[in-house]
Parts: sequence; C-alpha cells; structure tokens
Amino acid sequence: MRKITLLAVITLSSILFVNSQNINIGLSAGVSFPKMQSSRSQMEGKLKVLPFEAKITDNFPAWIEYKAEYYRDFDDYMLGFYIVRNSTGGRISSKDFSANYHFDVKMRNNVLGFNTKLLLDEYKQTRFFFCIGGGIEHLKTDLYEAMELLGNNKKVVYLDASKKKESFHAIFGLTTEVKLSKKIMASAYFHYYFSSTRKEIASYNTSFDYNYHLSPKWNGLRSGLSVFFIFPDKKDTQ
Amino acid sequence: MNPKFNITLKTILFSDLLTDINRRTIKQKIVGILLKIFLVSIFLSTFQSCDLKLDEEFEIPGVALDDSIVGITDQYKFLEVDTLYFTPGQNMSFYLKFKQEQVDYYRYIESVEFLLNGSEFKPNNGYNYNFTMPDIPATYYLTAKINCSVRIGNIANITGLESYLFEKNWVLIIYEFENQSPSYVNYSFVDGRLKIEWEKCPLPFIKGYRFYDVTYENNPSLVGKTDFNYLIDSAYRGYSGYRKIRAVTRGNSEIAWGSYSTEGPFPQMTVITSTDPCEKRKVFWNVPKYYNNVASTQFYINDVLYSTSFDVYDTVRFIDNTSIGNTDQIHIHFTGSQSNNQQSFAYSAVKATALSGYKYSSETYSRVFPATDILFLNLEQEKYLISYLSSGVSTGDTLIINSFKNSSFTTSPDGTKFAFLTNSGEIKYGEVNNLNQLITTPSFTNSSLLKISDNGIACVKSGSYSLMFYDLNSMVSIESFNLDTQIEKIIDFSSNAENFSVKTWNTDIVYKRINGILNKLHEFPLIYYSIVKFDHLNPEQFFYWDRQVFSCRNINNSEINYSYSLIGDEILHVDIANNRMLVIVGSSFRITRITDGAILNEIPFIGNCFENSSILVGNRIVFNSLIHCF
Repeated sequence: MRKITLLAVITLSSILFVNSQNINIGLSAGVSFPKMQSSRSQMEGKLKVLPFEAKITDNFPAWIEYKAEYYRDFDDYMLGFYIVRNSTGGRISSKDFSANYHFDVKMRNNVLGFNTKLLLDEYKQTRFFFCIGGGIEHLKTDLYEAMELLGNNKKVVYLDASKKKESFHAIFGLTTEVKLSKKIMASAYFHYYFSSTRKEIASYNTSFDYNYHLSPKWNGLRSGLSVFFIFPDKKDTQ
Repeated sequence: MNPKFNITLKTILFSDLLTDINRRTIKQKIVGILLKIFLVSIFLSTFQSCDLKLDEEFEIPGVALDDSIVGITDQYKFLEVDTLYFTPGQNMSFYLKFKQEQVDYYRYIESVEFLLNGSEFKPNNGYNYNFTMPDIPATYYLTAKINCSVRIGNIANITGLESYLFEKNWVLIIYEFENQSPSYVNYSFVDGRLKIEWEKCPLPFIKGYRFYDVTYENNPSLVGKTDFNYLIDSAYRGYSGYRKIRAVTRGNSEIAWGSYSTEGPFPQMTVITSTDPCEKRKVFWNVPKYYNNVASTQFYINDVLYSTSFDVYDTVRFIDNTSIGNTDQIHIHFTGSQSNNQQSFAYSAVKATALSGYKYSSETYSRVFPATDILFLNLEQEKYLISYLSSGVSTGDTLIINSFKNSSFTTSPDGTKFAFLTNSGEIKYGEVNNLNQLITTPSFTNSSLLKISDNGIACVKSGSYSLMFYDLNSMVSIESFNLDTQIEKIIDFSSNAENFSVKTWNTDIVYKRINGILNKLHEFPLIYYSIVKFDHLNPEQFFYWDRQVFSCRNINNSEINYSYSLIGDEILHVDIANNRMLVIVGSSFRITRITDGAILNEIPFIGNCFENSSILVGNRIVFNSLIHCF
C-alpha cells in the first residue's frame, strides 16, 4: 500500500510540472453524505444492550467536507489532484446525578486523488465538466466508551481504541465553473464517492458484552462550492 | 465587474498575495512550490471533525452531596459537634449515620475508611465501630471517608459502580485522666425523695451525667440524667439495683464515672379510690412533685373490657408528667369502650395502673355497666351533678334497650326526639319525655348513618351513596336519593326536613330537597371540626362553625349574618330555642349565648366529651352513650 501511495504521489506531483493555459488552485467546502448503514445498526444494537436509559445523540450525520484542489487547465479538459477530508461520528449518551456515560465512534477519511475534468459545454463565462477521478483514502476511527462517576470523580474506561486503514476510492460527477474575474473562479460540484472498503475492518468487545463490528462505508454523495484562484502558466507570464 | 467589488474581493481572498506567490513559483520553482504547499496546509489545518452533540440528560433527583448530613452517633443520638473529648485508652463505640432530612430515599453506607492524623486505621467493626483512644494525651484529627449509595435506579447504581464519597472530620481531644472513679457516691432520702450525690468529675469539659441500668451489660438502658453532681430522684429510677454513672462531655461522648448499688425500702405511692358508686370510675394518686433533673414519671391506665377472657387492651391512655404539672395528686376519669361482641355500649370494667420509676402502684376493680342504659345528667337537681340511674330501675328517666349499635344515637334539633340503630339494622325512634314507647321500622334498613328531625329520619345505607328518608309516624321509607359522592356523616337537617347538611371526605355540603329532587345549595371545603347546622326556628339561616369561628349565614347565598371567634372551644350542642350553646372549654362545660358568644354559665368538668356526645335538653345535658361523673 505504501508503494502504491508513493507512486500516486509521484504521479500526481508530475502534474505540477505539466505546461498548460492556466493553473487553478481551489479551496472547497461542501457536505458529505456517507451511508454508514452498518455503523448505524451497530449503534442501535449497542443502545439495546444498555441496562439504563440512554439515547443515540449522533448517528453518523452528514458533515462538512473540506477539499483543496490543484488543476492544470487545457481549455477542453483539466488534469489535477485533490485532497479531501471527511468526518462523521456516532454517540450514545446518558447522564444523571450519579454518572455520565458515553459511547463515541469518531471517523475521519483523508483522501488524495487524481481527477480529470472533461468539458461538456460552455456558455459565456460558465463551463460544465464531467469529472472522473480516483486515488487512495486513509480511514481513521476512534472508539471511546467511558463512565464518569460524579459521586467520587472517578472514570471507568471500557474501551479506548483506534483503527487505521488505507484503501482506494473513485469519484465521478458533474462540476460547473463560473469565471468571476481573470483571477477568480467559482465552482460547484456534485459527485458520488465509491470506497473499496466494504467489509468489517475490526471488532471490539464493548461494555455489557456487546461486540461492535467496525465497518465504515464512506460511499455516498458529495457536493459543495469551491473558489479557484487562476494563475497564468509560465509561458504566458513570460 | 465593478472595480470596487473587484478590489474588495481581491483583498478578502488575498488574491494579490496569491499572485505574488505564483510569480515566485515561476521565478524560483522550489520556493514557489513550498509556498503553495504551505498555503494548502494552512487551509487543511482549519478542518473541523464532526462534532458530537452534548450529553443527553435524564431527570433523576440528585443526592445531597453535603457532608453535614453525616453524623457520628452513639446509641441515642447524633453527636453533632465537631470536637469529641476522651481520655487515654477510652473505648469509643460509635457508628456513622446519614440524617434523613428532606430526602425521600435512603443512603446506604457501602464502605468507610478511617484516618487518624492522616494515617489509615481500622476500628473493630461489629454492630458498632469500636475504637480505643491513643494512650498519649493530645489533639488528634479523625477523618471518615464514606462511600455510600442511594440505589434508586440511577446509572451508576445499575452498572454496579455507584459510590458517593463523603468526607467528615472530627477533632479528638484526649485528656490526661488517671482517676476514673469518684471518691464517693452517697444516697439519702430528703423530704421523701431519693438524693444521690457523687464527686464531680475533674475534667474541664464535662457538662452532665447519665445513669444506666446495666442489668444487660451489652444493652445498658438510660434511667436518669442530670446536669449536676447530684440527682433528686422522686421516681426512684436511679435507685434500685446496680447503676453506672457516666460523665457526659460537651461533645456528648461519655466517660465512665463510678457506680453504685442499692436496694429498697422506699415509699410506696398511695392509691385512693372512692367507694361511691358514681366515683367508682375516678381514681387518684398521690404524686411527688418533680424536679427539673428527674426523668419523667409516667402513668398508664388500661381499660379492661368485660369478657369471659378478660382481655386487657393495650394502653389506652398515657399521661405524662408534663400534663400534670406541680400537683400532689392526679385525678383520672375513665371513659367507656364498646366490646367486640357489640352487646354492650358502655364500658364494663377498669383497671388502673400507675407506673413510677420501677415500682407499680395499681388498683384493679371493675363495675359492669349494662349495655341497655341511656343516662341523663340533670343540671337542676344538684348544682352540676348527674341524675344517675342504675340499670333495671325504671324511673321514667331510664330507657332499657336490648340492642344498640354504637355511635348511632341521634337526637332531633330541639332535643326532644331520639333515634338509634339496633345491631340487627332496625331504626328505633322515641321521645325523650316518653322513653317507654319506642317505634321501630318494619324491616331491617341496613343503615349506617342516622339523623332525626322533627318529622322524619334520614339515613344512609351502609356502603352505598343512597340517602333515604323515613316518616316518623309510620317509620316507612318515603323518599330515596342517589348521590354522586359517599357521605361520611349526616350532620343536620332542618325542621321541615328540606335542608340537609352532610360531610363527605373533603367537603361540607348543604342540600335542599324540593318535590323529590335534591339540589346542592352550598359546598364548603372541609375543615376538621366544621359543622353545618340549620336554624329550625328561622329557615332562612344556618350556622357554620369550626374550632375557630362561629358564624350565622343566609341559607340562600351563605353570606354571614354575624360571627365571632371561638378560640379552640368545642361546641357540643346548639340549643336554638333557648338561644344558647353547650361548649366545652378546657376542663369546663360552658353555656354560651348563640347570638354573641356571651358566657351564661360555667360548670367544672373533668373527662372526655366527644362530638355530638352531649346535648342540652331543657335543663339537662343528655349523653348518648357515655357517662361522666363529677
């Protein structure tokens, strides 16, 4: 996996040195809608085994996606790479005068990928692209289950674990770009994300003998807005 | 694009800066690339991971986490001080307890850790903790770290992790004290009372002494206490047998301080009983006067119901010395009870016992009162004494009946008629001035409540909401109403039998009966001693009173015509025809005027008079089941 990652980084870095019309550097913020069906059912299963009243206060909600993009613009297509960070999580919680109980699952997904944008249509300053890309993803999951005893300020930690995993991903979708000035461009994207991680990656014995199966599935829609800064390529500036 | 907007956008988005970075990238490749990487890193560092929401809280009442609720206690009480005094080597027997103040759950002590001057120690733990004080006199600091639980279904309890930690600190002052017994303990009789005297305990923090009966070594019982180094013991509590004296410190801990052992003789109390038939039920004792440091002397009186087995009821009356005052005698009058077999309504025998200290003085005697007497108190014949008529002697003032249901006796508003229930459920009706003619209902009524007016009888069937009326002449049921609530008592009804006052569990209700329909006229929130009574001479008004206020009100709107304060007086009977009331005030009967409460006559009285037990009839007080002697 390390070799593949290294190869991908070298390949993507080579884009930095390709000659093109413009260089576009973009910063994006959007929303990711990971499915996480398995994780959700695991949380519900965990809630049922608890002998006291508790609630699922978070159940892997859609959350903000951050993205940084770098593209070489060749008018009819673009080549580039992106770095994306997604996160989501789940929590079961309960609190009364005697104790404060948490069962937390925090997930992060850092993505590095190569992307190609193919021009579909152009209308005045607006261009429409079909996007297809792929690369590696780095998954990290933190599990934490603890009971804080308020009567004597002690804490009982049932589970404190962390799991990392690398795998591949692919995206495809549509992107629209509007040039606001010579140097600034706005963009909107609507992608679907495929992850190669499909099976359980770990299993943890939590309190009250509940076996929590960790299987993060990040497949799902992604959409957001970007701001691109346009820099003329070397040849034009000279 | 608007130039202004362009400039603003450039400024906000650092466009100029980025352009400058790009130029550097072109001119100096490596530096430019590093700058770009740096820029992206800054952006990535601002990423926020998914925030998990705040905790979900459930409302369960919290425990009071306050160490003031922890007390160290001996056998009798909490030692609520923070400083405890002891002598070297003295044994301290104690246990820890939570005060159950303002909480409706119990706190369980799970474990305790004791520290003396910061070092852990383990006192012997049986039923109590036992700790022997250090041999070196000094000031010590005692700490108890208590883990407790409340076990009310909270999270920590369910998970078996419940533990609340309380820390409580005390100061232990250990005094040098070698001589642990007084050099003398004397006792003598002074004015017929026992005086015990001993050497004072020389410790500076002694506030008094306690006496214990140590017949049972492990369970000594307190028999007396004093703030001085002597005890005047009228009750001889500290006298008989082997006693231990313990000095009490300001912290309520105790230090052994001598012992003594004595035996009688000592004076018996005198029981005086009268041979007068009337006074058979009065007994009095000679009682020593009390001193402030003497444990209370108590008197017990047992009523014994006549039966083949002579079962003795539990104590039915308890008289503490506080209710007697500084009197040399105690006079006791007895009241009656109904026997289990329902055959007698007056009491049949009495056993009186007075307990003073450890010595009993008792006199047992009995007198059987037949269950068939209705007796009258005549105010005219002798100043305020009764007209006592023994059973079986028909004088025109005595009615002999075969069956009588207790508490069923009722009289009409003018006091000239009466009615009662038999044990078999018949209603019997008669007139006070002609006791020999009783009229009985043709069938059993199964009634529980009864009230008679000038021309009818109202009753409520047992266990139902049904109110029935009987005609006085024929004793035949003429009307019946089903009410929406259960009646606890029929209080009164007007002479024309149109208005009724009844008591339910939470209200006093006034009903009006017109043409076979019962209407609710007024409803008063229930006051414990409240009564609604109709004015049978003036149908437009009624009386409403409790122990505080007497009022006369309009029947239609309940507006007050006049009222005055009663200050706790209990009205036994309202004699409307003569504008007077029979009131019991402390230990006196009082005859007062209805309209203004003025006192017309006052009669000393000792005994018990119950609600509706006595009424005025002419110059006589009629008792419905109880007899009172003077």
